[in-house]
Amino acid sequence: MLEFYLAQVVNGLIVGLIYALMAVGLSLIFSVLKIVNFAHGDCYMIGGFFSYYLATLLGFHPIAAVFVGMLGVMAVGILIHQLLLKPLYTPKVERKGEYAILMTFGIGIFLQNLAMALFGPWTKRPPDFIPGVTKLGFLFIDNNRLVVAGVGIVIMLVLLYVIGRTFIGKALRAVSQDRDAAAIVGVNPVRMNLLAFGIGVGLAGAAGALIGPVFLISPVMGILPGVKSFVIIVLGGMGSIRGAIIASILLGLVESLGSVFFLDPTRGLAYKNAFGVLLLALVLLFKPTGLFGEKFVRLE
Amino acid sequence: MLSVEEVYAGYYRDINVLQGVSLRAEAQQITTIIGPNGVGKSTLLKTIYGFLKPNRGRIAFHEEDITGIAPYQALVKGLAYIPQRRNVFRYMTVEENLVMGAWTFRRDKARIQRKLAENYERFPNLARKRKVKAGFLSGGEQRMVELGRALMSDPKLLLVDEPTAGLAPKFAKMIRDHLVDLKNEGKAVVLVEQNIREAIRIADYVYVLDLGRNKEEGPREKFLVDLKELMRDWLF
Amino acid sequence: MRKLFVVLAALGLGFLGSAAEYILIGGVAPLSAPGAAESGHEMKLAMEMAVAEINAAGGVLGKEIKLVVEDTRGLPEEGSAAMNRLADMGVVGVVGEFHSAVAKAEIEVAKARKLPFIISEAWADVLTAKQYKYVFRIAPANSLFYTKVADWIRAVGFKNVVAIVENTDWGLGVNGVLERELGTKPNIYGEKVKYTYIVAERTVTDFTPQLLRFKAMRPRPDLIMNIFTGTGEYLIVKQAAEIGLAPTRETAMFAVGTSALYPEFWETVGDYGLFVITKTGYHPILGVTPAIKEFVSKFREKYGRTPTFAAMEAYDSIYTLVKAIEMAKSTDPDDIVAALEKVRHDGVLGTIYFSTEKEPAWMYHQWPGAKAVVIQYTEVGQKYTEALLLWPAILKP
Repeated sequence: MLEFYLAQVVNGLIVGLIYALMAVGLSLIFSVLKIVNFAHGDCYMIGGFFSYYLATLLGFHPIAAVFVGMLGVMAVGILIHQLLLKPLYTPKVERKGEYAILMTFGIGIFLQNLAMALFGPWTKRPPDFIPGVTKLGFLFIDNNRLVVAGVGIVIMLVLLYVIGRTFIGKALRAVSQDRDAAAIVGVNPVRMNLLAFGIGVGLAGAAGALIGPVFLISPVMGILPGVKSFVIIVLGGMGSIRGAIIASILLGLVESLGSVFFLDPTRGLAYKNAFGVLLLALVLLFKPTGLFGEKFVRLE
Repeated sequence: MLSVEEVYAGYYRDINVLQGVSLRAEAQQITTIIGPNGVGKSTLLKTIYGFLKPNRGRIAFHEEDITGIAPYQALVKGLAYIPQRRNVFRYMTVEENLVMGAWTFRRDKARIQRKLAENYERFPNLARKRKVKAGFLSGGEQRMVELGRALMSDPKLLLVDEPTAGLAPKFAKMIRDHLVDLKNEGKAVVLVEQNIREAIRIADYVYVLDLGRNKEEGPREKFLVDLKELMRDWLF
Repeated sequence: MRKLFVVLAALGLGFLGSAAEYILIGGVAPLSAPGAAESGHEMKLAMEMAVAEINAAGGVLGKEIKLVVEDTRGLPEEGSAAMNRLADMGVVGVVGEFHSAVAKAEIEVAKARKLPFIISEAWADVLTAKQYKYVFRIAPANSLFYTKVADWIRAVGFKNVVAIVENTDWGLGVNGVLERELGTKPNIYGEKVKYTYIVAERTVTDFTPQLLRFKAMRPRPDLIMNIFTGTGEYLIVKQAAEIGLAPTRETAMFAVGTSALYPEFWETVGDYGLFVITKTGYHPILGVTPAIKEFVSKFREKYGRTPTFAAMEAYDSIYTLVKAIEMAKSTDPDDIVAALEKVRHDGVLGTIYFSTEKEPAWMYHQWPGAKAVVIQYTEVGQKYTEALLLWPAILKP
């Protein structure tokens, strides 16, 4: 029985890592731009399709396709930012919060329907990163999931390094903490917004590209992960990168273990997606700012 | 050094808070702007630094037109701005805050180290607390962080908006002393102050604004005499 | 004022529909998320093909047919809205639908607005069991079909059957039939069949936790019923294989949903699809009629993919409705219903007709001719038409 629980834990960790890639991207966008990107799940989907076509049509190695796909989604993000989000920083847009919600929501619906039209509604499977299954002692782990874990950790470490140690990362944090002060010291906040949006949706794209061979891709694949990443960033504390990572792992574990420990085993999976919300409700009850949230989040 | 000519500016398109304000500031001088609340003193500093675009008028720095410049460009020109609102990066350490002041020359490690050392010499408090998150510092220390951060880029002109508001008298005095030191080092300081007595005491030249217009101006001596009259004017 | 406008608009559209030189037929299918858009699109293609053919042959009652297919998105409220929109446009009848839950809402509109409605591919018993005058069904009722699947399970001698069931009317309906059939009758060796199931939302993408649980069960399950459609169905196949659960010597995998018949099955599950068992309403061994051959080759030529059962049903639905209109010589809904009760159409799937028996309840207005065939893939990438036929056993011991 021990092996059973251990297998659940490993599974939860891997799923949590994918959540983390998405949620950290969302959190980064939120903390720098002060907007919630409702198209995040759809950027995840675009990442899945980009890397699928890179691997199947252009012959990229599936792992290389993940990184190139991520760059592709970043490019899409930059385009979206320059064309549709930039008006946010001009006095022309007065109700910035509403503008951002409507705009990103619309972009999401557009991307989903575009994918439906371009790629068709059928489920697709990107080629395996490494085919087969690895047996670790008594654990069977799909090799693709191992690659997901490995690449996911690498991307996450690079991101944490950039945010924490480099000058660019400091500037991103500076803008997130005080936009005007950052402008005062010479940081161009619009450029930082562009960078944060690009990196943020790029991370979602990487998550989608990584998950392709494991959970398959389709135009609607992003809806649920999108919702989950909102749950995660509220759970972890809006704008907190560390909070987003910890909350993601937590959610992965709770979903994995929750659905097997659930009182009525025939309904465990039916409520799987509810566990996250339950966890959220409990945490918010005791800590309304989320696990690592700041007291005040200024929406402007 | 700085000249503001007949500037009109405001937060909404058709409502000008500044209605033709003019001002000059020179090196080695503290130029103080005083006036009742809401006459546009802070608005003037924001407009000079580019947070607001003037609807009319001209701003020049060292004879170069900088009207409507973006804030992040103003710094490169040699301006620095310390707004009234606390604006340290709360979740960064003191040192990280100071280093952010070096953003425009971030590749020049030697220069960053030199400027850091200068700052720690000027503000020994900050040297002791360099690893502390700025959000945990007292109000006076946060002001010093802001001042130090502004000094990283060697500005020629400092725009300082009510630096002593809300500070304990001890810290308020320290901040004013630092401003006088900076003046003596050759910088131009444009200061907006609520505490008129103190403001005039350290000023070299004084502007009085009223309802978005220049009301009076003159060297410090002129106002030392008229201070009582001035106050009465504002109150009634 | 607004109400008045809506009424006027409806009248206007109705007027256009009846007076114009064409007959309007409605289609309903899930064309986008969260519906099973992959199946909905296939059905839409088949409907369009049928209409194009009929028009090429001169239409019906001397008029051209126009087809309007509305997207129901797999949502009941969208389904009833779509039906109402079609009624407003003045369609003479509606065919289609894939999701039972949506069809359940749609039959209420069909009843209220007197719209002859042929359900193409929604299986829940209740749809015909309500015995609405205007509702007909070509798809098999769950009971009609899964009783036969249960017969197979018992005939092979499975003893420990587990199921993952999608939380929809279709999934729960299938589960209900299997639970009833397996719970009440012993298997071929006279043993009681233990049937355990878990229910999951259609949106779940990671079934690994539950599959691991199945793997840890003692005795280990000998058959997994994968009662899912779409991405979920593929994921269960894939994830069960990844953890070494099924298909293996100990445990078989039965993918119940239609998606196991699509070419995407192989594209998505790859090698893991080998030895997966599934079911279909159509298999060449049952006799490849010229009609089937013709349909399959036409469909492939036109759209480049092998049609499944759902496409054939949608195609036959259109033809049957049109034939009834022709017999009725009228587009009056009651005349069409009377004609549908008498119609015999030699379609792709066989001779389509509708029973008027009221016992069992779901038999009313149901095509009883649907066949159930259990097949198993014996080669990677195999077409389902070439898969091994497991049931009905041709040679009984």
